[in-house]
Amino acid sequence: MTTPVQSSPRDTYLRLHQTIASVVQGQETNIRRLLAALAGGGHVLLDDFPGTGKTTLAKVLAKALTARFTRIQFTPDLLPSDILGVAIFNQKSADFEFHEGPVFTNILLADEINRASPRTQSALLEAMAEAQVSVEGERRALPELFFVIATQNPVEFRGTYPLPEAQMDRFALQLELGYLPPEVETELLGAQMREHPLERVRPCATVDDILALRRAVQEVEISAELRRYIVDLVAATRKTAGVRLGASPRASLALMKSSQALALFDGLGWVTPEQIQEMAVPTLAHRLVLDPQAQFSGLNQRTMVQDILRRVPVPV
Amino acid sequence: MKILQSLRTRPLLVPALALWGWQTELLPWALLMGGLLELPRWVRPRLDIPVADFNRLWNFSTLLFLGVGLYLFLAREGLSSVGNMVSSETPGGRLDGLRVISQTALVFLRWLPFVLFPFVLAFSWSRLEALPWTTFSLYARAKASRNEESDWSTLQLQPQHPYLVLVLFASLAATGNPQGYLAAFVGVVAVALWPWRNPRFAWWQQLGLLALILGLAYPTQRGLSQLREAWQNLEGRLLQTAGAGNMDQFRTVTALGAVGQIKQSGGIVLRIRPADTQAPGLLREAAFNRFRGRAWSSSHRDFAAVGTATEGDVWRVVAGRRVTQVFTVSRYTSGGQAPLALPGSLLAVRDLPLSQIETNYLASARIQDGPTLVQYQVEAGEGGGFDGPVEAEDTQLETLAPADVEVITEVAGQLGLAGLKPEAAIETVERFFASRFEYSLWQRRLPTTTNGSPLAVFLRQTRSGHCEYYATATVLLLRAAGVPTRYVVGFSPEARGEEWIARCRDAHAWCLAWVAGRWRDVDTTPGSWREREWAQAGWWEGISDLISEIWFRFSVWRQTGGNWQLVVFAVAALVLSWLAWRQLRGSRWRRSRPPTQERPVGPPPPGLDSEVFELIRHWERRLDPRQPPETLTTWIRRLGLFERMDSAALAEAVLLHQRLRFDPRGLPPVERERLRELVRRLRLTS
Repeated sequence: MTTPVQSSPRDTYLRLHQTIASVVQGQETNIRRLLAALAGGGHVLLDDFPGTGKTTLAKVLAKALTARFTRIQFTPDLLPSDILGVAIFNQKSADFEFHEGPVFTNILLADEINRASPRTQSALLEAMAEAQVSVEGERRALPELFFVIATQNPVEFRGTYPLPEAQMDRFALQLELGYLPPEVETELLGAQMREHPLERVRPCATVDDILALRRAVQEVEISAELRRYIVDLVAATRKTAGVRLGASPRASLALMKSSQALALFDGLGWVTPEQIQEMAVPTLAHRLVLDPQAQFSGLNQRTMVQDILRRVPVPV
Repeated sequence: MKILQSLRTRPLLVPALALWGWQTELLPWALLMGGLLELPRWVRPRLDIPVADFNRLWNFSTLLFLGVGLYLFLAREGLSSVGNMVSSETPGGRLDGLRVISQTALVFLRWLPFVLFPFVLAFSWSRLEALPWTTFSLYARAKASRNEESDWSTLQLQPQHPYLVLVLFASLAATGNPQGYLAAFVGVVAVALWPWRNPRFAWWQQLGLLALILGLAYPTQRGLSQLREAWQNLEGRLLQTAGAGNMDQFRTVTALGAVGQIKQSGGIVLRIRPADTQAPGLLREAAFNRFRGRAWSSSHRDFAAVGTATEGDVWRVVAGRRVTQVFTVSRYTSGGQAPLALPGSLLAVRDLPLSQIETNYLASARIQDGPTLVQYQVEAGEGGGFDGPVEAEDTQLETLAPADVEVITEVAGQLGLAGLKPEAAIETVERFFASRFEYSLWQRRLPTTTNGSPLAVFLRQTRSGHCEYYATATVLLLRAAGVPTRYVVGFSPEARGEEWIARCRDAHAWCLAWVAGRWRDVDTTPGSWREREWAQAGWWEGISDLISEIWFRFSVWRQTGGNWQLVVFAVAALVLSWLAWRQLRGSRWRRSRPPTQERPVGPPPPGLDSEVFELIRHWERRLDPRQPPETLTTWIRRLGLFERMDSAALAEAVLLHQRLRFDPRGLPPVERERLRELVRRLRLTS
């Protein structure tokens, strides 16, 4: 039997997974994918109905890490400077002093991101893509571990601003938690009768652990054949009827990195086709823009990608 | 959408097909079909038919559709009905054709459930939920293959829904059992819509409404059929009176330039096959004796039937004369009517496939209500012809315009025609035109609002023109000399191999002069006219001649009783079979092709020597083939192999195989050997 390439980073993953799963019940697969995005260096968008545990998932991840965590509640009157920071004139030093905004953190929870104006949403673009912000003409680097978990609610449209395609592309994954099966939800009620399990969460990993995990993910091998398979999948999204805008090369990168992370989580030093197929829908679906006709006929991005997975031949 | 959902959840095809079978008296078949279509609701096995095969199956169904349509069209006299609709002179004939066509369409509609049944059956037993729109449209398929976007390309369709509608329509087209049909039809539709009735009303109110609808529908239906009967009676009376008026006689007038107009075409009008090598000579179609303005007309417009054929199909014009010339003429008719091209010395006409011929005093002959192509044999000889004797009109110059009278008198004076014997006068006129005139194709449009005489222009100024001018001038000059004359139009055939043909270009006009007690052809047009006309022939004339010849032979074959419907059907069957064969061939070819993955460039991927591929081939042969987008693990799980054999060994083998294939660092020798051993073990147990 093969031995894992690095045991320590995988242990980090297992500890984190166990800790988060103890609070967010019935979401093992989504926790695994969330951590894959964290380990792969991407950001995550949680898109689901209110009360399905999006914010809890983000908070428990922040609490499980010994890392700086900030939360921004997005509202229509939120300004870019409320996120990035602002330079204030110090009369004593007769100079402008920069006061860092909440974006200077390790884990950023952008709650209900689609309630802010596009201008404010765009303030996050540079931070998410390049791990830096430009304020007052000066570039300021963000911490080495900078992970954005954004949430949004798909059913409310009044007073919201749908994320532009460019911003959607910045998110490595979009996860939908969905409602729990009745038996799991019953267990959840029992677990939270007296106190929220979140209160009991203690940090189980440090920033250095996560950085080590990321480095280990970069060491996971992926063959040229599977890299081509990823490219074929992404290219198929651009040729599929009903899709007006397909996935970008950034999507190929996100799919590769998150598949590498999954391989590491599975204790493998190389990527298998199964891991790519597992991550295809979360990494590609939210980047597609469909035709109105396709939407009218009941298709959505997820079914489109699933259909592509059923069409593109896979190496064995 | 709700209706569609209701169709999906209710086995409505059985009652709909039963309704259709009841009407078409095919009830056992219909029940069997309905049972086969709805059975998959209760049984689990399904066929794994890919969409590509449905595309081919749809192509088959389309070919079947065309084949059945063609068969019905031909078997039910479709072509001749369309021909009647187009060519019939009477509204009644056209309506009859229309009626046959509509009855054929109804029969076709009645049979359509059979035609599309294989396709719907295959879909019912397949795993697919719906078919993409591209299956049903070649155009959409072509667009999809070019990766072009289309508004309809993402639409999906369940074939049972349109099939249900089709079956109901087909049941409407049948008229087997009208009693109770309406109630059954409304019942099927009501069952389909019942779950979506208005909840504000109780069930008995809904049923009452249904009963009310039926109660009103039956009297309405009876009223409609009475109305239809009344209309049919009225239609019959209208048709008795419609079309009773005589049609205009043709060829009673010809203006100068009319023949010239005809001459501009090279189309073949007459085909003449002589019994020997003798030239048929001039064949006349109409004769005229009155010139007024610039047009020739006939003083005898009335045609009379020559009587019935004797001795079989012989119309004998002159009896007791020796036949010196025999030839067969073929020509197409226009709506059944045509002038008969005949020689001046006609003795008899044979083999005309109709009951009568009409002639007039000036020896013009014609047929009415003939077939599309007529063929008749002409016998000619000395003393033949049926021209009426000389009458006053044949010498008349008074009807001419003053300008024409003036020029004719002037030229006749110059030639000294007055007092000459007829033969001498003819000779003088012939010499006059031969020596001083030339043939030209010039056909300047003549002024119609002035008093200018085209004849005066021809005789005095241009001295050049085509046959109509020569013939008119000859007729009038000879009349000035006291010779009775008539103006004749017809054809001067040209030789082509063993047969003779007369093209439009060979249309000709000449003079008929009364000499020594009989009518004689006098043609003063210079002999060069044929060469000049030939020079006008287009390069395409050979091609059009070939097509014309083929069509002519086909028409003759049809006329002589050839089963043309069989030939059309055979050709269509060949074409459809070829298309079907292409589908089959395409199917095999596509299946044998590897998946549409592009061949990777560069060195072959590692691990292709893995022994697991042997296992894969083995399982593919014995169990179910792996679909190209299935990973190895997914496929093995689908086959249930983890439960059927040593799952630990299988999982380890798969993992080692994947490492061999997808880890660029490869597999260490020990683990490579382990993989071989595992495969050997699995091979033995599987």
